[in-house]
Amino acid sequence: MDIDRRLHEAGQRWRESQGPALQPPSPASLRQAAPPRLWRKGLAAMAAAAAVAAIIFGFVTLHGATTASEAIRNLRARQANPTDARHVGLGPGCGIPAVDMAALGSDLRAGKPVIPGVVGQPTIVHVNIDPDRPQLKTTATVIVAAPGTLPGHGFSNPSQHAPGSLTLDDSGNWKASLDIAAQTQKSTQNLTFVPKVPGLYPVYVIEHATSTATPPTFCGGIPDKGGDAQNVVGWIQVP
Amino acid sequence: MGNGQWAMGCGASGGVMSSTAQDAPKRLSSMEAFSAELDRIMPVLTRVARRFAPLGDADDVIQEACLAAWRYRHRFDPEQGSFQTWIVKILLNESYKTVGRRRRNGLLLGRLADRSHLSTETPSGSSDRQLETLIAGLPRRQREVIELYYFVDLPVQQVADLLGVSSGTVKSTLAGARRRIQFRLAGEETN
Repeated sequence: MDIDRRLHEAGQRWRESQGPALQPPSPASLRQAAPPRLWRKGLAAMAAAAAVAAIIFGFVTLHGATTASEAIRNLRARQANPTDARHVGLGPGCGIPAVDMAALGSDLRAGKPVIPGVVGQPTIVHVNIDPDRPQLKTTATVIVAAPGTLPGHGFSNPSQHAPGSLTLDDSGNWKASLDIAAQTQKSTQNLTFVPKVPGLYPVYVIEHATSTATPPTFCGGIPDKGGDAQNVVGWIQVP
Repeated sequence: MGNGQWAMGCGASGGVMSSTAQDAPKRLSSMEAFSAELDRIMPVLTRVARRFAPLGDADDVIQEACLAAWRYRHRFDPEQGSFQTWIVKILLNESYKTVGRRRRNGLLLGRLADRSHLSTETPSGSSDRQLETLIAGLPRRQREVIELYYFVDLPVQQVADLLGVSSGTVKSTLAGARRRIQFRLAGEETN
């Protein structure tokens, strides 16, 4: 049989086998939806907006290194001298940034630290879990994403999602990632990223609050219905 | 559904309503009008969600997409395409996002589980199941156009608008997908 006809007939049978159409959200649900926000174009602007309203539960500390052994030395040195540490805060609530961005000097992009990396050499993303927020049953994923990766749909302006654009929705754009269960993991963890090509790699934190009875208020980005939020917390620049 | 027209609805169950492009944002800003337009295109949205979202997630995905569309309604530009195309784009993104999340959580049971309605007791059911398996094995873009054109029943131009390509590209992609399915069918029948 002609394959075109066969596909048409299969499609027809499939449509006929379907039940009634699903229901759209009620007007009450629409009323509760967040009002439209005016978004600036570009990821940098989104990251700046995220900086104004930092979120939830922990710190993510970024440390750059040219070799693994050097990274460990740097890490120790910075732990011994906290004033030298470059870190980005995910504050425990809206508008409570956990770091003085001005103290970070020029090493910033859209208010977030830029960590140098080298092709083929490991860069360590140092993740500290905030021990003071055990009541938040929140999990998070720290991701080093491919250069140019946008937040997933629902977390940024849909008009940015042109065909072919990279987003966090496609896990193929995740170059390195680390899952954290905040309610059980309080210690420091390291996420190792080895860049294969030059570029400016955004470091994202995706927070999931789906396990909480009452999801905490997210202020950075747009949370989805399940209580997720996505934000850039830093960059890894690989020349 | 040309430029400058705000066209809603498609397929057997969807009506068509047009107004000027300048009127569209005003009309969308009314919750009642927005809900009415959603009602109109729900059959198409339902089919898209059932073809692209993971098993059991179609309803949630539609809810998310509709809420996102309402949230960003001021971004809808009727010059760029119909409201239906715009919201189906959002729905597709939402579906892929859910698939990715399920995959990361190890909860994706497989798209074929979604095809349980295809009875193997009849020759056509068995044949359709074979087709579904072959479609599931196609590259993503080919699978998208096959699903949207044959199963969701969108016209070529609307598939093209949805995917941001020309209608010629959609036609050639369809032809390539059909060749591939035909080739694999022939191989299976030989074996």
